[in-house]
Amino acid sequence: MSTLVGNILVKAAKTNPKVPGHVIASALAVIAGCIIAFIGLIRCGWIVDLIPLVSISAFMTGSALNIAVGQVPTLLGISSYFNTRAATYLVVIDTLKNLPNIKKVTSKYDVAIGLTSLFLLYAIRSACKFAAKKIPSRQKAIFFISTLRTAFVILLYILISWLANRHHKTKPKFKILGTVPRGRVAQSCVI
Amino acid sequence: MIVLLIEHIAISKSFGRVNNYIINPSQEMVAIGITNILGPFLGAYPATGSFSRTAIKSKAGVRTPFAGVITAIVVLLAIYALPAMFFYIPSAALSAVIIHAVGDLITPPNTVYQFWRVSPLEVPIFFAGVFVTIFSSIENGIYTTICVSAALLIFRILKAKGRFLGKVKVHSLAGDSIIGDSGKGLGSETNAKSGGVHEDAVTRNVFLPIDHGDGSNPDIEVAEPHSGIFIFRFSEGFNYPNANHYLDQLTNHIFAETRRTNLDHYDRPGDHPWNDPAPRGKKQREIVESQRDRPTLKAIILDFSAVNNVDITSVQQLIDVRNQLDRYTAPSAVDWHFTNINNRWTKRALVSAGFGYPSIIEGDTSISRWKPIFSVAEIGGSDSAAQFAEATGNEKELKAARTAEQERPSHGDGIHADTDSGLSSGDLKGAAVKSSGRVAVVAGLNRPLFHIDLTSALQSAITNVQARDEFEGRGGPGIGEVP
Repeated sequence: MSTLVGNILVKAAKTNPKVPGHVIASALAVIAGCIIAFIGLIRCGWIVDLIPLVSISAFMTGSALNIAVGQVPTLLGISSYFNTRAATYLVVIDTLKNLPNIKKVTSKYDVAIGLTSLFLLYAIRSACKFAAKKIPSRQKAIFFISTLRTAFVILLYILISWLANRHHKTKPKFKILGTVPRGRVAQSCVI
Repeated sequence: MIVLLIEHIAISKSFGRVNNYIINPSQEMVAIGITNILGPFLGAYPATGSFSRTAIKSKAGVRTPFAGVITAIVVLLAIYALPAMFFYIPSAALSAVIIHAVGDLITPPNTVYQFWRVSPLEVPIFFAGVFVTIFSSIENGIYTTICVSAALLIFRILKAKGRFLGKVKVHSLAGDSIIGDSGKGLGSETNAKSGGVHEDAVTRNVFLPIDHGDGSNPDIEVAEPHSGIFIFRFSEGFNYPNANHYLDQLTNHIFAETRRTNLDHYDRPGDHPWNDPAPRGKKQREIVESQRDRPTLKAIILDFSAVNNVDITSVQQLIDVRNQLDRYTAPSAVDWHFTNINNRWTKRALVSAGFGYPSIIEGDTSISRWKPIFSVAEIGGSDSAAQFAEATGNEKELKAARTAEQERPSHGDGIHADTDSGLSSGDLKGAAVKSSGRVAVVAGLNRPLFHIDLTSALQSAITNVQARDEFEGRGGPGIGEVP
């Protein structure tokens, strides 16, 4: 969903740069909402049955790959070298091409943060899975710990980032979000 | 834009599966639609349902939509209280979180294997969708999978194969050890019905595909129902896309299994259609020799259990095939029996095409030509006569009506009685056992060739054929003219 809106916004920004992005996104929402509400109100909900399960799972797999691949350059700190919104295979090729750029100073910290956080997330999850198997009586508590792993990891790295960057906000040691633009928050929230 | 719509729909569809309760998709769509209409006026962004949140909430024990209010409050607090913190989020860590989150959305290989187990054809569709998404765009991926799935469905309907059924006698033991063993899967509906008919019988007949195409035990010998009688079951409905395919299969099978009743049925050799090579002379004798052991075609039983509706094309095809087979079996005619007609419109269509009552042969020499469907008005009179008969429900009058229809009261009256009793006894038996007052069964009385199940259809077909054989053996006046 958000990748889609992002792509549309990029395109719209090219053709008509005057209109701000969030207006386009809102207009999109209104139009799509009208169509959906109309279909719902005329009780044509059965058209969802025309979409087979294969289609949904292929769509989910494809878009998940798309998003994941699109985020890898950011993870490695090389997102500024090329367009990460291109078709997925192009992003893969560009990522591989730009791997040597990791050596540059700012990127080093990005790679470290990205890879450790990713590792941490998967480690927590597999640990929780393992624990849930071992201690079935605590399954629910473990599930919530597992659910909160993202929040935990983000908070941890915010702490690290704050410790590292609080004295040079204008020129951070590694890439941080900075002043939060509207769309970005929404994007991360939706995902 | 359309993709937004499709994604909305896809997610709202998944809601029902995730939440494990019955949803009304229309209502879900109204909800999402109104959200998206009103939201942007408060500065919102296109929104859909969220899989992860749904899963977490359902696990947390959320039961009512009020949980959404609490979520909203928490999110609001986060937005107003924590922007200072957001400043320090490292982009790389955020990417890691995103990658981790979407990683769960990727269909895992064992699910794909499950797809393969369920329907091998759909796995390539799945991969096609994924690859198109990767190499082109998400929307093209969605279009690809939907279009290919639809094409597959249409192709299946188009190339649907019927099955020729044979008879198997089964014993039901007191336990359930035999039923369900040795593969009576396909015959289950027949089981139910014939079970009703022969409730106290020791054995009963079930009908299985002769080629064991249903995966039934290949050791079971499925007997041909009767020489010259074929049972054909449609598998995917019977409509204009597949009518021709079905009936080609039917006629090919019949031509391969039977012999022509009379090779010399054209007055002059020149009357042969050029594409209907009927060899004469020595060649003919050879063919007759080689096909001597084959039966002649007597009757065809069509099992309509998988058919809901017919249309003009399919009924017209049926009429054409009937004419073709009547030519094939001339001077006798083929009886067409129908069973398990599910829909009264289907019955109506078949009746108006001239099916459902015994074949009528008009003259001594000419083969009966069934009226094409467009001239149905011509037999309207007979129809009304039949309706009148139905209204009175009197079998005597019914017979009279049918004889009047034939306009040959002197011919074959006696045999009519035979066949009629044979035919309707099966139906009456069914009617008696079936729950009382079912209109379909009562309506079947004036259409003796519509049966409630295969057993009664086969019984009446056999009775009919035997009666005709007897009649021909006696050298009665109208050989082969009597239905």
